[in-house]
Amino acid sequence: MKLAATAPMGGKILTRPFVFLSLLVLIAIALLVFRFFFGLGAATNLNNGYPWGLWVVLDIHVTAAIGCGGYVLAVVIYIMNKGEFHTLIRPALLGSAFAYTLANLAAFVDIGRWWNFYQIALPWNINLNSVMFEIAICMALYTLVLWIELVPPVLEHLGLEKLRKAFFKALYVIIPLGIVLPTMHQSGLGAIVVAAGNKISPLWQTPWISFLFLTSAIIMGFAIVLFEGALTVMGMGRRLELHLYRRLAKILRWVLLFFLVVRFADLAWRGALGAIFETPARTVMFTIENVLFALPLVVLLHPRWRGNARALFISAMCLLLAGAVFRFNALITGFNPSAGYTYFPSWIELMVSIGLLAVEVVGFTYIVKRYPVLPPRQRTVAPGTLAAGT
Amino acid sequence: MSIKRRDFLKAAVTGSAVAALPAPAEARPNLEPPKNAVGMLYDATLCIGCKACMVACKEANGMPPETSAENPMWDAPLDTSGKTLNIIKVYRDGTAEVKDRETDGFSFVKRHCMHCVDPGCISVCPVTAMRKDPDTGVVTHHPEACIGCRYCVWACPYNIPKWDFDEAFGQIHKCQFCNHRLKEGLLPACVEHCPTGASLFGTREEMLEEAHRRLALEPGSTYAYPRNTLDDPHRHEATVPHYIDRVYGETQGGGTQVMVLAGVPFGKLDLPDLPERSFAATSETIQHTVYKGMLAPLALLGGLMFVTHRNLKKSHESDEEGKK
Repeated sequence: MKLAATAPMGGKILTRPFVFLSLLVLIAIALLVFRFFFGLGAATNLNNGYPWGLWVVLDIHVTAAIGCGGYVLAVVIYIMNKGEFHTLIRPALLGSAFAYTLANLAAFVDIGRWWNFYQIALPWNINLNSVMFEIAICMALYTLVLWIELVPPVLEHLGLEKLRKAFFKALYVIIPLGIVLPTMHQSGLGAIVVAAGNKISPLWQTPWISFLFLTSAIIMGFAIVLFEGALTVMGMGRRLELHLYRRLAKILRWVLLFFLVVRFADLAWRGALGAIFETPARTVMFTIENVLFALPLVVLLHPRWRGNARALFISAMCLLLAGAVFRFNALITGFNPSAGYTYFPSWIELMVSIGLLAVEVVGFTYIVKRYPVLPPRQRTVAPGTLAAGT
Repeated sequence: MSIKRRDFLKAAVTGSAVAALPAPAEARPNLEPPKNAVGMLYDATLCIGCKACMVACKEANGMPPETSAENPMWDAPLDTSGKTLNIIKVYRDGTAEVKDRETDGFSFVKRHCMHCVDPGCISVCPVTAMRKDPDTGVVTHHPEACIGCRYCVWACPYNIPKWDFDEAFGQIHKCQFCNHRLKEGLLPACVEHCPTGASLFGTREEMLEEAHRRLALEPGSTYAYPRNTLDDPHRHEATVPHYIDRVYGETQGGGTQVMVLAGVPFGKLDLPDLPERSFAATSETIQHTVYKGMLAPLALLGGLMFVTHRNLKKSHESDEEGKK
């Protein structure tokens, strides 16, 4: 299985959206300087009731889950042995590498004693009981793995063919690592909730929370590939790739169905369904979360809708939002601090989060225009001719 | 045929459930109190809300005063915080006429670290910045290792560790049982300055014994209450109140070394109703059952390497054939 043909997309870098997003990045950088020198209290609305807020949920949990495109495709291509999806892997890996890099960066931004961050790597500080320790190490390692997986396009760009061939030998180790590590920390990100015990509503405090986080991260991994894919089909007229997305959607629907069955079977089994009506906020947020998961399932189960780029795009967007709301709920909506504390993100938290997301878009666009990541437009594979080695 | 298929599905489901859920045999039990576990008994019915313990705590730990918006003139924290390790709070209901009564009554409660027997903060800390003294069981914080992730703040069932949000380069603060004073043979500052013996110091066992002794007393009778420690020669007599018939901290959340007696239900005093199994035990059981000492991830890695190798090789061969 050789990499499918890819080519730099070319085109102007400094487009108007690019400049606008870069501006957002610059604003975020300025605000981060403020955060680092004036502290979390000055920059955020975090408090001792809600010590974790927007940055932890959106920029670490959600961003890392959105970064699961590379993970999911690696499983589909190399483990389920579906080589026809190879054209999709480079953009997915690039998106994942950006997402994970930003999730690590966000962790650094969020920790209160950032000058002490290296303490987590000191052997005498290791706490193997800590879910957070496992996540931190696994996420850092996986980020490294993702960038290593992206070395081939760079070698191609530099015309180092021999080195590129030699590099493929390392794939036997790198690819499995790129599957084991996210399996570990995506479930770990859910396991974080367990230690908080009854501070978390029974809607999200379940022994299955790790499993649900992992499965929903896989769903979001599929969704981000479909989201980007449907966008390129609609925006750049790459109509011929649509059949690939349709087939991915076919795999996704079973994962999604499985997730929802386990989710509600667990709630019913533990008798936790009544907790939906604990507070109005929880009723609303739980409903939004599950409607966003269930609607795409209806679309994906329908063969005609599944093949429609716009329907796929909307479904994928719903699923990305569903996974995000699920994480917000498990960590914030479902969280009971001691009385008297409330939390809503400050404008600095919002602008930094927006800026971090903008980094991903800006970086991704720049790289696909300059490096061979996307399949060349004129050589897009047509259905029936998808020999993996073209 | 269909039966076989069902059996297979059953086996598959059970198998994955076993892998994902804690098997009872491997469950990590609650930790036990250390041999010389120190203890504190706070009897809310003896507390007169004088806050001498709060002043003493600030002085003993070098903490600054904290003003809330309503009282800018003196130390008036609203909760434990980065500047306040110990606080007296009050429960009030209706006309608040009678002390230690739930309806139309009131009660004080002293809040600070409970020094859990099986602390959640220690279990979650990624850098071992929370430690439990193997001898006394005192839970201490070590800022030199802390990265400020605030998982301890988030997970503590009593909401005790507090990040100092007022500081640009802050740290976690919490009551450390006046560990520095214990080492010099002194009492915790709050106990030493308590005029009524509401806060009492001893071993955890002694405190549990004393608590049960009080619960066994007839309400309305008199009892000679000690101050500071049980061997106080100058005990003072007082009328025995109607206690809630439970020692808070004996078993809750795996037990604590600071225990509470009160006349109003503990839930009203900001003391949560916790299961006997500590959340640390639950969390670590799941974590270690799934990972089986890193064997499971390594096995998965090995399996995936085999499959990847086979798939890559197969498609490579078909490529070669295609070229011919």
